[in-house]
Amino acid sequence: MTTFIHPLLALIFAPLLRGIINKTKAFFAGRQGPPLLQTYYDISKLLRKGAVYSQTTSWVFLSGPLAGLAISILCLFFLPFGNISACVSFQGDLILVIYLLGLLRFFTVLAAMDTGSAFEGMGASREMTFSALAEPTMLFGLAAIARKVHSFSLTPMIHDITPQIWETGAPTLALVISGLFLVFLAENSRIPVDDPTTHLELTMIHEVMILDHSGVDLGFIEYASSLKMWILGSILVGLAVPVRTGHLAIDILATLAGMVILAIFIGCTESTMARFRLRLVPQLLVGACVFSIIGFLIQ
Amino acid sequence: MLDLLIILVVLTNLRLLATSRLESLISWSGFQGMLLGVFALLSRWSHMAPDVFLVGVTAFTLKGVVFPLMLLRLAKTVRCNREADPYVGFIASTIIGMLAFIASLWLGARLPLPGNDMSHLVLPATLFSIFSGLFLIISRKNAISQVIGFLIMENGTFMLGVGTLYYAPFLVEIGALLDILVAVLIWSVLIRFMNRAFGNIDTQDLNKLKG
Repeated sequence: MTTFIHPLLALIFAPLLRGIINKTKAFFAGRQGPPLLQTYYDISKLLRKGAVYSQTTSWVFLSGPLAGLAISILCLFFLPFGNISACVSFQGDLILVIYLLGLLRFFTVLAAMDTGSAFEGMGASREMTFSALAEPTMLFGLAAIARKVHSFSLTPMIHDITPQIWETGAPTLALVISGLFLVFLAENSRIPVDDPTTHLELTMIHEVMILDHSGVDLGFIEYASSLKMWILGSILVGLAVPVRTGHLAIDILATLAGMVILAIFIGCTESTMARFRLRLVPQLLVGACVFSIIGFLIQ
Repeated sequence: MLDLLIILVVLTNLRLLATSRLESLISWSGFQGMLLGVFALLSRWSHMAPDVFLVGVTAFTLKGVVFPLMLLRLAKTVRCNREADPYVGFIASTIIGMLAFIASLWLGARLPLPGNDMSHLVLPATLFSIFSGLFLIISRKNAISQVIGFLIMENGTFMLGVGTLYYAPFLVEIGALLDILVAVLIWSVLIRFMNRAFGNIDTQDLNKLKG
């Protein structure tokens, strides 16, 4: 029963992360900001609406949001949450998770290309360029941890991140976490890579791909992207918060607190930084890759 | 703790390879100097003596404060192009840096130093500093970037000395630091002359000196 805790927690709390980020940003700007549960309201409103489809689109366009949501829910079953094991775990499951995220992106991009709009094609091309740079960072980062704890499966890997490992391998862990954090920002289209609040601007990446989606489809996409943020966040928090007491409630609370702190930290980053010029984004991602490769090399 | 400092030195090296602005090149090299000063103090913390302390503090002030300030003033007076004019671009430099780091790790594993019990990363990081310094010298046109390349190389040798020996003669270390001080002074005079002769500090122009 305890193995299903993480998917349940994720399905319930994932949209809350965005609410926390927006509240933090509002605090910095001196505004009251949208309510903490705004993402839930948005999604439930979208789910009640009908969708409009362009005549040029085909079944590919329809399958994009569905596949996106299905894949992100599937991902949750392979992910441990702090000390709580994943539902399914086997050697090499971290590669599966990374490529499930790749598949998610593939369907989003395909749906964007299916609209036939040049604008969405541009967004799709940017998304693919940047994720091609982000993927090696994730692989090298997780490989570095795998080398540290001698296991290629996420559950034992995150389970073994104890305070002792932090004492002996702090440099590796710190490098991997900073690399993964930059990937987290890029993959979830946060500032400084992409601005999730802008529309119809030439530098945006993720938002441009979902411009043609509406109603239920858009709701699915919003929910799937919240889940994606939760997925990457739970890996980050699993590495950064070494609370492994074996006591169920304490472990869950510590990791949840880690997620909240991560969201607040992203809010602070977004409030204090401007978005990079598009030309600088590959440099940022190469930097992230360097972090995790160095983490992989030194042991 | 020492490992963390060494990795920060490695990361500053990569940052230096990837930076394009002269000012940030100078300030990052200064940051690396400060890191080395702290490294010199921390690595011999258990064997602390007045002269060891003096070496660490002198390294910190010279490499971390004095050189960057001198170079920043120099860059201001010659009013040169603020770009560092690399022959090799950002991503290519980073990749070359990564390859150099891998090569240094390989070399460091093959060259065990007798009596080195501080950290197994000292030798690779030293070699990497020397490689990055050399790379900065050959890949940048701007004369000030070349001076920084030399300083980075010297930082590498300083780290080797500090990181492998618990006790080196005081005179040797202070002497080496003074040498660098004099070298930087001479370079700044030379760069000023160069600026007066050519109107810029592009080392390509030195080819015109052929008789």
